[in-house]
Amino acid sequence: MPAVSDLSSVIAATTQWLLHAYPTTGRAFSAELARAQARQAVTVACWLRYPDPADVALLMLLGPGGAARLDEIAGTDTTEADTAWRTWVDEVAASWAACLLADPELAADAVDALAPGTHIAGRPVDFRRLTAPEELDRGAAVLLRHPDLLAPVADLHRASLLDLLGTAREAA
Amino acid sequence: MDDQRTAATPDEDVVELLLHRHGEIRNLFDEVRTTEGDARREAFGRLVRLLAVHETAEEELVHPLARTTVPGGEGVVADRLAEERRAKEALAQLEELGPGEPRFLPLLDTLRRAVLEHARAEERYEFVKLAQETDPATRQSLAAAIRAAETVAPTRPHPGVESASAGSMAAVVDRVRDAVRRASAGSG
Repeated sequence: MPAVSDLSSVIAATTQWLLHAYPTTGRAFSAELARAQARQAVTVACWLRYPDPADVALLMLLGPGGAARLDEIAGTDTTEADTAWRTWVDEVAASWAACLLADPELAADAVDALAPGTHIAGRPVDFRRLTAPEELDRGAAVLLRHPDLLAPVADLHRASLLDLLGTAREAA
Repeated sequence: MDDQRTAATPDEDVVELLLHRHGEIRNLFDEVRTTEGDARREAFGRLVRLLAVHETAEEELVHPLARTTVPGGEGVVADRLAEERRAKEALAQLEELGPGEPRFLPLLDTLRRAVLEHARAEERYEFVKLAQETDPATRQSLAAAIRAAETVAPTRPHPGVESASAGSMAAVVDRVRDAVRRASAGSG
């Protein structure tokens, strides 16, 4: 079980949901390149959404909400056996990550808006698979970065992400 | 991903963890070279996943710190990033070729030499300086961040949420958080 301050299970599950919904068309290496991009997008989304230890503690206590509405939108067959991890999916983080994957400029703004506190602890972090994908990355993530395909998920919570980034920009 | 990674101790610092991973990569290259058929295909699959995850974690968490900690850090990191890009292209080519092709082993050997040289350069130019110039707490938090980046999705449900509906639980989180923030603002 993760520590109270640890978002890694939520990040891993939400990443997995995005990869199931927008699978790579390539082989194993492409799948890993796509996973890196999705994981970085979800990490940025979760760090924005849960910026301090109290947020993370509450999330761990109450649960991230699960993938029910996302699965409905994506038309996922939820009768499949491996449903346990879906309870760790965070709908808002998935939606914000979809916004970031569709728009590298917005992703760069989101990375700039990360608070220097809890998660980064003063360390520099480079999310370049998200913000500056190379040809191999893009080739591996054709569906995962397609704005039209991402829209139903991205639109769910896009407004709150833009609000948050606008507020962060004004405060800077 | 747990299939190719040996257990790391929780207090292992970032330099120990990365050296550990470099050792695993070296061993996996040997395993791919010395096996055949399905065993080689399976070992190559593990090598592909380990290399992809490891290089991304270094790029995300280790190189940014090296940029500011190591003398000439920008140049050192630019060299490593260029090597990583070439290795990825070679890896994609190898995967396309497939382990059954006669050209697979010579190409694998070229990649192996490049990746091990890359790892030695990281150890020499980045890890030694990181060990000297950063405090133990920083090195441990970096190791924890790398392990978090390697985490796979849980196989057990979140405790207590199986019967809750997603929307209502997310709303509860938001309401409680807002209440806590208001309370903190009021008392601060």
